[in-house]
Amino acid sequence: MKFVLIAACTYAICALHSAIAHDLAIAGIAPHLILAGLVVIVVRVGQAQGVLLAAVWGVLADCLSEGRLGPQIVCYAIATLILRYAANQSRINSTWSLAALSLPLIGSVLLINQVCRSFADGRSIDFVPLAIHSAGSALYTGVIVMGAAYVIRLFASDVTERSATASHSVSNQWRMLTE
Amino acid sequence: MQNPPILRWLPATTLACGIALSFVPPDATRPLRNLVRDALRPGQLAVHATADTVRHWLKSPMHSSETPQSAAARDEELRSLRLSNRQLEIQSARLREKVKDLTEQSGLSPVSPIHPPLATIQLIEARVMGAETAALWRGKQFLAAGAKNGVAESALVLENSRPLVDLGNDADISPGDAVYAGRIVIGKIADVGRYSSTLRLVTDPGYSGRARLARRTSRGLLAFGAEGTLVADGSELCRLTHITDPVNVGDEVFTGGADGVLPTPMYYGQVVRAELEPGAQDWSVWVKPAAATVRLETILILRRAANPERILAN
Repeated sequence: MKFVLIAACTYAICALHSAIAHDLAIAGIAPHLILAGLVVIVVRVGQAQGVLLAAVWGVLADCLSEGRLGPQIVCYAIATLILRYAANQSRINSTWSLAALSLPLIGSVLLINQVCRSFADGRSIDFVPLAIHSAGSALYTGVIVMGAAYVIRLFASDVTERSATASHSVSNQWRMLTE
Repeated sequence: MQNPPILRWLPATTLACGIALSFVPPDATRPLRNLVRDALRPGQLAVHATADTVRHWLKSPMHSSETPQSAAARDEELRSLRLSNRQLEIQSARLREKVKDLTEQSGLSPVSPIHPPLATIQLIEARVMGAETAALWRGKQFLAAGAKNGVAESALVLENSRPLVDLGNDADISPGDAVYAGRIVIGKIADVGRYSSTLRLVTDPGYSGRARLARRTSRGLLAFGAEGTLVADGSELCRLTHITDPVNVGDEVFTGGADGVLPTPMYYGQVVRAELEPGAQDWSVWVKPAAATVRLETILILRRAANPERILAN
C-alpha cells in the first residue's frame, strides 16, 4: 500500500513539476516541486527507502532537464542522508524546523547541480546570479515544503486524535465491566 | 538487529551510480529521457486541463472581483474611446479628401487608374519558443508523437542553436523575412523548417540591413538623415557603416531603404558611440539595438508575396 502511495506521489509530483512549475514562477524564480516533495516524504520513511526514493527522483529530475544524467541523483541522495540524520537526531520536530533545514539543503542542491552540469558540459558559469537564483528558488520551495508539511501534520494529528478517542471508549467499557 | 549488507551499502551504491551516470554522454541517455517524458505526458495534460478549468472558474463572473462601479467606469471609458475613434476616422476622411483636391489642383492626378501594387505584405504573428519547448522540439519530443504520421522537421532547424519560432514552411515563411516586436526590429528569419524556423537576431554575426539615422528636434519631431548599413559582429553593439554625414550620440536609427511596403520605418536602436577617424571619410558608428531590451515571446514576421490581383489581371 505504501509503495503504491509513493509511486502515485512520484508520478503526480513529476507531472506537476514539469507542467506548472514554470507557471508558478515569481520574478523568474520557480519552485522546485520535486525537491519539495522529496523533503516532505523523506522524513516520513526509513533511511534505505529514502535513499532509494532520492535516487529514483534524481533520475526523473535529470530526465526532465537537459544535459547529463547523474548530478541530481548524487545531490538528492546526499540531501536525503542529511535529512535522515537530522530526523534520527530528533532535530525535525516542527514544520518550521523542517523548512529551516530544507532551505539551505535545497539551495545547495540546486546550486551544486547547476555547477556540475556547467562543468560537465564545459560551459562557463556566472556564479553570483546563479547563487541568487538558487537561493530564491530554495526560499520559494521552502515555503511550499512548510505548507505541505503543515497540511500533512494536520491530517496526521486528526487521524491520531480519532484513533485515541476510539481507544478511550474501549478503555471506559473495560473499566465499567470490572467495576 | 544489524541491517542487511545491501541496505548498508545502499547510499554508497547510489552515489557511485550517480557519479558513473554523469560520464554517460547525453545522447546515449536520450531514449530513457524520452520514455520518462512520454510517460509523464498524460499527467501533464491532466494538470494543464485542471489548471485551465480552475483559471476559468476563477475568472467567471461569480468569482470576479470587479465591482459594479469599476464595470461602469470601464464601459464609460470604452464609450469615450469609441467616440474619439469615430472623430479620428472623420478627420482622416476629411484629410484624404483635401489631399485628393490638392493633387487634382496641382495637375498631378494620375491619367490611368492606379494599378494594385505588385508585392503585398503580411505581418504574421508567431511565438518564440521558450528554452524548454525549444529543447523538447530539438530533442524531437513533439516529433516523436507525430513521427508515425509522417511528421518530420528539417535538421537544419533542429541542429541550430538560434532561437526558434513556431512557424515554418507551413506558414510560407522564407529565409530573410524581417522580424519585428511591435515597431522594434528583432532580426531576420535564418533557416526555415517545415513547422519552425530559426531567428537571426540583430546582434547575431551575419546580420545586415539598411538603416537610416534620425535626430529628434527641439520640438520633439524626428528629422531623418543619412542612410547606411547596419551590420552585426556578435557583440551587443551593432555597427552602422557607410555614414559620411555627422553623427551624434543619442541619434535614433530606423530601417532604411524604404520600398513603401511598411507605412512607417521600424526602429533599430540608438547611437551610443560615434567617431570620425583622422583622414577617414566614413564615421564609425556603434548602435545599441532596442531588440536587446525586448522580451522575445510574440513576434511579427513580415512576409512578402506577389499580389494575386496583379498576377490574375495579367
